[in-house]
Amino acid sequence: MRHLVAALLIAAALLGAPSAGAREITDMTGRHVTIPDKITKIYSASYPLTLLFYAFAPDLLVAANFPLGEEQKPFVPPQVANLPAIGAAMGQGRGMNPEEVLALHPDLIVAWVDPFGDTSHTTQQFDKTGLPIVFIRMNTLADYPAALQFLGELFDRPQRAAILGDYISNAIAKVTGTVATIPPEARVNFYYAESRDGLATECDKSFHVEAIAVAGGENVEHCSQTTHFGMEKVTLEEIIAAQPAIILSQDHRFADTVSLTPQWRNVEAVRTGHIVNIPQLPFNWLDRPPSFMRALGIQWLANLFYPDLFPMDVKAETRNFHHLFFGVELSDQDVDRILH
Amino acid sequence: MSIASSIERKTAPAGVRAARGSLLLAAFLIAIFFGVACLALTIGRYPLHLRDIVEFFAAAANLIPMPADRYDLLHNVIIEIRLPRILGAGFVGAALAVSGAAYQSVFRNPLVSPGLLGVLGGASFGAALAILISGKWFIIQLLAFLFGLFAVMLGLGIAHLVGPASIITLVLGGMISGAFFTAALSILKYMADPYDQLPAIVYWLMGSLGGVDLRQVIWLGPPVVIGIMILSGLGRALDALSMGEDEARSLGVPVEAVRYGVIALATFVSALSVSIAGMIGWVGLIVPHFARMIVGPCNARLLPVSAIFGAIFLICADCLARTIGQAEIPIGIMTELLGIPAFLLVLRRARKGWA
Repeated sequence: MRHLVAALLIAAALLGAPSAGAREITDMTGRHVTIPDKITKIYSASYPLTLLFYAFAPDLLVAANFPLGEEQKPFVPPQVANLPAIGAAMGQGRGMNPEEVLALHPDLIVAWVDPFGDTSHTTQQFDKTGLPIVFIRMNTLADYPAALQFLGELFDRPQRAAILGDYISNAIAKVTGTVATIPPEARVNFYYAESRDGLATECDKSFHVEAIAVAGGENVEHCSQTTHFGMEKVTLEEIIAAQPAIILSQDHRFADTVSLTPQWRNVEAVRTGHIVNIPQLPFNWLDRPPSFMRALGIQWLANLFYPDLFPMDVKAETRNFHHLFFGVELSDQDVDRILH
Repeated sequence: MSIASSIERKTAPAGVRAARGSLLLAAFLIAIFFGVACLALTIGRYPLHLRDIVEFFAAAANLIPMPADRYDLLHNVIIEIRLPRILGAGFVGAALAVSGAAYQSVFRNPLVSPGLLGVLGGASFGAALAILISGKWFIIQLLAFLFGLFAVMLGLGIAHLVGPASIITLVLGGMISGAFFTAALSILKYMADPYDQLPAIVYWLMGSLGGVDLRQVIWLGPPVVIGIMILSGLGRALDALSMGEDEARSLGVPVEAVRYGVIALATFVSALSVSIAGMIGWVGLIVPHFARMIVGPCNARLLPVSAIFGAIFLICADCLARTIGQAEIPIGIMTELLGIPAFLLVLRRARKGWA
């Protein structure tokens, strides 16, 4: 019994006392967190942040959140494809088991502040593990350069962070610079189609379609997002009344069949054949998940909406982006596959 | 007590007068149904005036000329978008209400809804499975339908394993089957890609009449109508059954055959409706209570009246769902919002109605 007490006391002392190489930092929500000096392994509890690590520092990750599809694997760094998928701290779907995270012995857990400002999902699950949690603010694409700078300092990789952060801030600056010159009446009206019947969409103020707004598109659906999930239902007659010039489709099965569906024939975009598949490889360019892919997405969209004002070689830029972010050189077939 | 007395009334010499009353009531309800359906045709997000619609039908009958593109647009909105949706709402509402009424009679319990034997759980599982493996509409509907039926069969099978088929064992079997498929659905949701397949599953589970087109209405309509007619034909036997098994047997009613026949038919029509429109709650539970308040508990009348009420109720709920908010309110939420206060009212007034 005495031995047990002694062992417990020693264990408590070991756990409680700050170990030799520790330092205190302030994360992006203002929390003070004590973290080890040398960080070699991390677990990211938020998928959009995990994706950023695929580009920024894939070697640090001990696990992925979700398994990659076969079609995604050729486009990401090879070590990413081999990571075990142990889930994420989300409200739904594949949740993770904190013990499984502990078993991988990460030095640190990183997570994002979700778009509604909520961090409790993550803290509830990880506080009991005793691992330090660092929150990164990265809701809108415009948050990314600062988030990358923070990560660059935290993990002592400022150059890599600067390369990616600069690309993103340049992309935003180029696109918003052009879009600012376009008067409201000349903006392109679009309808954002989700689900395979195309009758789910996002409100103009929803964070799900933020990237399209940055690229100067005018959402025909004016409303305020009520749920995290989004996918508001709309009726086809509403779309006929709104007459969008372009339909941006998240579900290629919808985009492939809508022109064959007679009910849609009186929608301007369908009549004129302006149905656009949103590229999904290696990750969706606009949303679900919202990631740094939007830096490429906004340029592609600005060019799609305003080809004269925003000229761009989409294929070359796609190649450049993949080289920069994933270190992957794309062949012509790869680019065609990404862009359909 | 009241069922027994209503049967006496029906078998009494005054039956001729009752029959005439039934006919009048049927004509009246069908008139209301058509009135509501026509009214629903004028409601929608595309700005159309009543005049546009009248003009369109006049032009369709070659009474007045109309420019071709305008005719095409009106045809698009009225005939291709609104009409299938209204008909779909009508058939789905009728199917859910009639199966709810039939279940309530078979199980002699007013709180029973069509999901009792697990049809909803099975259908959701089937739809989610289809979304994971294929994603084609047809496959989703087919698997939703088949698993809806399968879940009920499983429930009945469990009931037989547990012991002699009684109402209690049937209910237990249904609960187990439903719980099993709900758990299986959770596993599918867990396995689904959280940014692609999971939203599709959640979206399906919310229920929608927006995707209904004329083709579906054409193959949904006849089986539902036939199912309603057969169920109504079994109404007398159901009445006997609701007095108790022994009483029914002594009246010469084949208890087992009637019970399983009614369950099979009611499951068939509700599975069909779920496969088309997803999960729409409450209709099957509350509409039979409305109907019972008007025509009493005699099943031969209750079942067809429930069907018409269900159709009217869902058409109205759907009209509200697609007009109230900016974006569309999921129909399942609408039926709950409308249904709960109505249900409370009915329960207050009709406490005496249940034997």
